[in-house]
Amino acid sequence: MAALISKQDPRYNTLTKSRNLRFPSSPNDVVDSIELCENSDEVVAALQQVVDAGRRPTIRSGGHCYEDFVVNNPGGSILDLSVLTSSHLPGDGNRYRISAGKVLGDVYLDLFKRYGVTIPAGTCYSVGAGGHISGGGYGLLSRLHGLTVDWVSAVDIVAIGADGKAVARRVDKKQDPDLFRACRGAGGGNFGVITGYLFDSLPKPPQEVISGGISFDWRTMTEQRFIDVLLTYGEYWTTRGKDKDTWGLFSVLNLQHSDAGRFGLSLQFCNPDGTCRDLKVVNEFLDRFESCNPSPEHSVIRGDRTIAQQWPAGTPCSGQHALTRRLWLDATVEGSGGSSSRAKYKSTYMKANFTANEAKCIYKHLKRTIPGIDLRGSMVAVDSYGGGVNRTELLPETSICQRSSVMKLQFMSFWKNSQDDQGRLGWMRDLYQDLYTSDVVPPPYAGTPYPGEHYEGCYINYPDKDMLAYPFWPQLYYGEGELYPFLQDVKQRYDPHNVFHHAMSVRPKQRQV
Amino acid sequence: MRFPYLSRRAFLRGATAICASASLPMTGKELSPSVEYVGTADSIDVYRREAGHKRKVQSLASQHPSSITLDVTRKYLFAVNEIAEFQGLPTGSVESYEIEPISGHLGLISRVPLSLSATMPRQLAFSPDRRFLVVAVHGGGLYNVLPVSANGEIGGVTQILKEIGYSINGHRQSSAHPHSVAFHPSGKFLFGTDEGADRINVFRIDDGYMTCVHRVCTVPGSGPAGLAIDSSGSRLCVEHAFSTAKAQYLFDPGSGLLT
Repeated sequence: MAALISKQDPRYNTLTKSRNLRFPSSPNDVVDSIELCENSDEVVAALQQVVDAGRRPTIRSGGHCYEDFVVNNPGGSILDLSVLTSSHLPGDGNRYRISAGKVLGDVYLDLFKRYGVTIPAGTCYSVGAGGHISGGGYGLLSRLHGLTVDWVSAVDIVAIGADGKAVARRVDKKQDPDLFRACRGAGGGNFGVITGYLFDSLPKPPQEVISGGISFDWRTMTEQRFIDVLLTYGEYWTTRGKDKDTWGLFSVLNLQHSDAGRFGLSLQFCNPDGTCRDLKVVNEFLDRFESCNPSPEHSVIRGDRTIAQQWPAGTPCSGQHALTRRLWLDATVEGSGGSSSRAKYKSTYMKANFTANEAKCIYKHLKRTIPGIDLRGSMVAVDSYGGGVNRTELLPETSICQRSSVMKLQFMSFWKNSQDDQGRLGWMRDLYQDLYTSDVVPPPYAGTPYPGEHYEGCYINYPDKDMLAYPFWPQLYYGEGELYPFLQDVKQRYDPHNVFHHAMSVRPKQRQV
Repeated sequence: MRFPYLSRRAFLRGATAICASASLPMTGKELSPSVEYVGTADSIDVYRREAGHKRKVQSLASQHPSSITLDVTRKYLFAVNEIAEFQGLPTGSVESYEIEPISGHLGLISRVPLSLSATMPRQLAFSPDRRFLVVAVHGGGLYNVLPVSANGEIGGVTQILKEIGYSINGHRQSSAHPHSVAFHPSGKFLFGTDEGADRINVFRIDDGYMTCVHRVCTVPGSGPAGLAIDSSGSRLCVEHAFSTAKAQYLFDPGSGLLT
């Protein structure tokens, strides 16, 4: 039986909170109870009780949801799966299991130590697998091995049928293949409670990785040099970065606000065979930035999206660039826990290099100051993308439609005080609106990276409620094709009462009744 | 059966149809003319009837006000907006208006969103103690409770009660569709028809909190819809969406049972 955490319980206050301290938005939005579920049977029973009582269930694995989808649930109940962490269950056979409540750092440790395999998932240790994988799940090995959902063979999910009964089901390519596809990328909180993912096979991680980077001083930065940095970076991923021998290279260009003093890029590299014997690719990549005059005294910066934040731990490599060699497991699980703060995020998939105007716009907003608002902790992180992700044959098998992009942008801001909310949120909205109101965005879609020649929309795991202002928001996240109507059909079939919903969940098709 | 004049509404479906109305006879010095409020597809219109003639005196923009109801003190009017999306969210909304005592003209006080998934709300009822509204949400299959302050301002949703159910009439009854709500005169009970699940529900009301205490199943496929209760609170009349039949029920406030 699930542990019921009600208002009298000393754990209640803590467990009503999100990692994003903006939520719950107000005392009126707080849930009535939290149900801590250790296994699928407990999920079935707890979900049934919640539904029978007419309350709304929301689902939490790691608690990292960027928006208010989980903890803003007035009078409702959170089904908290953070203690649902089994590594193997009867009936799994030889398949690997990742339970929904397991955090990514523990997943990496567990899979590596037990089996010598891994998933190409995210960098933050404490992100829960349940939500992360349901939205796609990508990270430093994704250019090499694709998305985590690309490897999923089956999903265990508890759904509410037409008769209102909670039923646990295992879905795969043969059993309920439509729901299986929907669980591979559509995002959390849509169709039911995912309790676990099963994998027939998983990739082997590299033994070692190379870490490194370069940084730039905002005090000496000029607009032209900033443009050069962005275009040099983007040019690589649109050309050389498509070659298979570079797929082991993953980089984040972390464009921090000028208040932070510096910005830079960090990288992780291995050869496609998982070794680090040949560093030609990484040296060639860093060579391209020599003309941009990176700071020699600070080869890398630290920050929320910096790869291997403990860098320069590890063994220095010989050569002109400051690179270190580390065990992959150490590089993957150390120092990436993240801490709670107030936060806001946006995202963009890019199919093409930055234009000079885009670079100018980003430069302008990173230099912009707001009286009384400290904009340190505000940034645009430009992740390398593509490679093994862009296997278009997976389009009909998964619910990830972005298979043509070479960069993925994450707009982020982290702060402590609620008094700064307006300034922080406004800064990011202004940047985004400005950046995507240009000649590469068709006028009807101004203000958004609408899918087209230049952009490929947004990432559902980086949800942004500001996009709800646009009636075409589903197309930003799921494309213009058959995917969103397909997901609506899945919603109708497997959650006919729309028990599972949040502000950006797949919406039932409207019927005239 | 005598229907309280403020509870009687006509529901006509269609893009431009008049979908809700309520009339307000003036009292005292304003006895001679009467005022009528009519919801259309995109407005609430105010009509005055004088010397046998009816004329429109005001029209306020309002999105699909499918149900409007008047405060018993005639100070406020409430409307529910039967829409699928409000402020980008999948929900409907409710509005409150102040009634100008002499002219009967309306002035908007507040408009607030319903809960997530409270799409296409159909009808609302104002509690006899004038403290809260209950909204029957047809599309999302649920009820919302919202507080109303003494100045007529509607507060945020305080209770969401999701219904699960279905019946035999194809996609029109593939899930619960609360249609109408009406308070028992005591304010201790609320009745709700569910067009999708072929049910009439009795809710006990405790300090603005709804708890279902009894359900009556109607003829399968009938779709109970319109609802009215007599002034004694003992008799309930129900119209049906998919049947011309009207049904009457007796209510025992002692047991909370409907027969």
